[in-house]
Amino acid sequence: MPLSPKLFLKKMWKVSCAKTGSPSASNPEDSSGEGLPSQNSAASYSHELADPAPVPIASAHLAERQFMWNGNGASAYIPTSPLSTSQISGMRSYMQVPPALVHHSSSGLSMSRGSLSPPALPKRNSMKRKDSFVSSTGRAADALSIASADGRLDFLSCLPYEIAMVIVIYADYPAIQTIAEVSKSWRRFARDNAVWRRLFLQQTEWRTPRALAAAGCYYHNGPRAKRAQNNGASCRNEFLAPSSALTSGTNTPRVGDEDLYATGGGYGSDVPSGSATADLNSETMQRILAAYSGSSLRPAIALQHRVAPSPSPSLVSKFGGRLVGADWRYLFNQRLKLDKNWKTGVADIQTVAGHTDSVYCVQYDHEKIVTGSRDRTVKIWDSKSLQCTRTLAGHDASVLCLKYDDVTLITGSSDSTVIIWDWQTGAPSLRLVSHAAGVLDVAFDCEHVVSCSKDCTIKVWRRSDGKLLRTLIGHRGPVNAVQLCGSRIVSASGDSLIKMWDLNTGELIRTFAGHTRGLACVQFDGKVIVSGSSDQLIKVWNAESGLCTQTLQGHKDLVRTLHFNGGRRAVSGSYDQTIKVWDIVSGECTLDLKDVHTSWVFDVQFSTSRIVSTSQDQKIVIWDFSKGLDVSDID
Amino acid sequence: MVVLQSSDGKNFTVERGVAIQSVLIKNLLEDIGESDEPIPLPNVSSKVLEKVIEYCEYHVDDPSPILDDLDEIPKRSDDITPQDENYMKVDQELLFEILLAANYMDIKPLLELGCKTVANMIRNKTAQEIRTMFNIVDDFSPEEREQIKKENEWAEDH
Repeated sequence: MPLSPKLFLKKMWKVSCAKTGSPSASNPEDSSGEGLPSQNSAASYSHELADPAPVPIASAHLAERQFMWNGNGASAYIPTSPLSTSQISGMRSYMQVPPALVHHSSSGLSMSRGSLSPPALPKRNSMKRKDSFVSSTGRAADALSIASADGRLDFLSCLPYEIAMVIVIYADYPAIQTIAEVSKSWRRFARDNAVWRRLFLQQTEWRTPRALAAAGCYYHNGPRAKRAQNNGASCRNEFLAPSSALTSGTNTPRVGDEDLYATGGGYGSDVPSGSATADLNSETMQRILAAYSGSSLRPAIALQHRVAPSPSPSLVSKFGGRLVGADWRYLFNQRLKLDKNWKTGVADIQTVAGHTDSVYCVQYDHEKIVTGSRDRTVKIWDSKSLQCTRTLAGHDASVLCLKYDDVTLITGSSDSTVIIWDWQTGAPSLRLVSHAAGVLDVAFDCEHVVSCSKDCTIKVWRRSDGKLLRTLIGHRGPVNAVQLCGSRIVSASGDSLIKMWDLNTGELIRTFAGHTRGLACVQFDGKVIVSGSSDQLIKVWNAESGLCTQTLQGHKDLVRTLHFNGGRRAVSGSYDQTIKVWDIVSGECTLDLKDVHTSWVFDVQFSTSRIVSTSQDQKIVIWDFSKGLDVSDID
Repeated sequence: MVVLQSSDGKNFTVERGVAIQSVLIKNLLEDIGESDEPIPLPNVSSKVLEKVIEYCEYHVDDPSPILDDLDEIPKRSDDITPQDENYMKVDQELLFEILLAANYMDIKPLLELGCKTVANMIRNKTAQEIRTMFNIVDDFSPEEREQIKKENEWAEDH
């Protein structure tokens, strides 16, 4: 037999009163925090000062569904971590507050309000109450009493913190800076860690695996490999989300939740960012985004106050932002400075010599740099010391291309073979023999290896045992570059065409024509193709429509190499000996790095803070834009 | 039909579809079943409730709000429809009360509309303009002001 609303309310009130045993119920004198909307209480309302005292209003009884409705506006207030007393009082004002208490709180309010605004009695004091437990005064009345005579009202300070935060969410970075200058109470919003976390993570290109880790998102931090990522090694680099979270959507326990508590993101809708990095292919990203978007909503504002300490930067870096919360304002600052260095060209330049001939290819991560050379070797360099730690020999001619992940290194050579190396032993574990001429580029995913050759073909191999699965024939010139993303192969050839193929059937899907001379390089993230040609141009293509969306002009010789990983930035290297950084959306060349390489640039890769390039001049050059910055959580 | 009772005891009879845009009421109706008895909303005055109901009536045919609570997607506040913008042309007090009521009654689209409206009031204003608009006293000491200026500096040269 369902309760009538009135009985229900009564019961609810009794329960909440009894269980509350709250300071206000037992000690009505203690009203400092009672008038929530006052400036005073607002000032003590920071979630960063969470009171470790036991929570009087246990979430247990509120969590019972039959009680949920009563405070559902307030269900937003059901804490998952201890609440401060001021928070509790905020909560109470949404509960059924007995008139006596409300009266008391109103007077307490006007006292604590001081001279902030003209005292105004709650407007509805004299209203006739139909029922003793239905309070005629409430929060709104309290709030009105602090409006100025002409009705102007300090929204952010008067609203419960979490509602005010919904307003702040719409503020962009300049607005946050302005908010910091308004008043002390407004400044709290502009210093809220959650605000900065949001501002940071809203920048798609800032979401590196390490930043996501700092945000409490699990991300399998595999090699930040240029091609490994582009080529769909995303099977290694995806979020480790349980499959249920990816398929069911709502109310699935979220990945990284506990970690999030530890990192203390901040206020409520501080959803573990389910977003993928810009490096992930967009399909994966959409899927993950969709899965996570379902899990966050329920109350009007999901309110989960979390303790968000603001550790010193050193602590952040020491613990990688996991054991203690990252200071997002600090990270934001560091990241802005890093971006500025990319624009102004402030970089530390280091040169590594060791190969005895042209260095054709490079890939690197946080720990190592791997290069392949005309001297027939592959060398592995320590990222910090820049010393050569290993030399791998196995090819009988130049090492023209290489790609690696955690498990294997795959190289292609002028000797017409592909070698799959075992990282452990440093010895070739498989040699793929079938091409009739030099192997110019390789790509791979979990199951396949794709190679392209001077023999004008593309070959698809089974990664596990090296079995040749199919040969793609169509190009009329040497195939200089190949990319693999999802089930799509994209190839660029000396015949001046880009072709897109189906990995599984070998079917030709689309041809992209537009360059007037042979192509040297191509990049593909699933949606966008970027190509470099002997016509000195870089073209950006929509992979679906086949249309060229942008042409980047600036190089004065063949564009030999490109790196692009799904963001706005692309980096190119040319036979004109320069390396250029591009905004592929605006088409603008944002940085021109010259006078360092003294011959043709053969390969280039960039990461959040570095560019590594190799050249015919036998040198490996590292351009580091993070000088003087702490990028341990953002790169 | 559902009867809603404001804090000052006034009854409003609305269609179920209008009422259940409030998740608070929707859950209540699901839990206790239909009833002729008025549902008391002790935190919402008749003036505000009338305004809230006006919103719910406008939006009765809206599809369920899309779940867009992701942190990482920049929130837009410039996408308010002319109708909603018109609806929000109220004085600050009423706007404030609508926000509280929308939160209490758990009407997320209305809460967001209200918050966007306030966000738009803040947008592209100087700190002093904001203080004037909302009657805020600049309570910083000279030292604090200096400190804030310093803190914001790293941003400005960007």
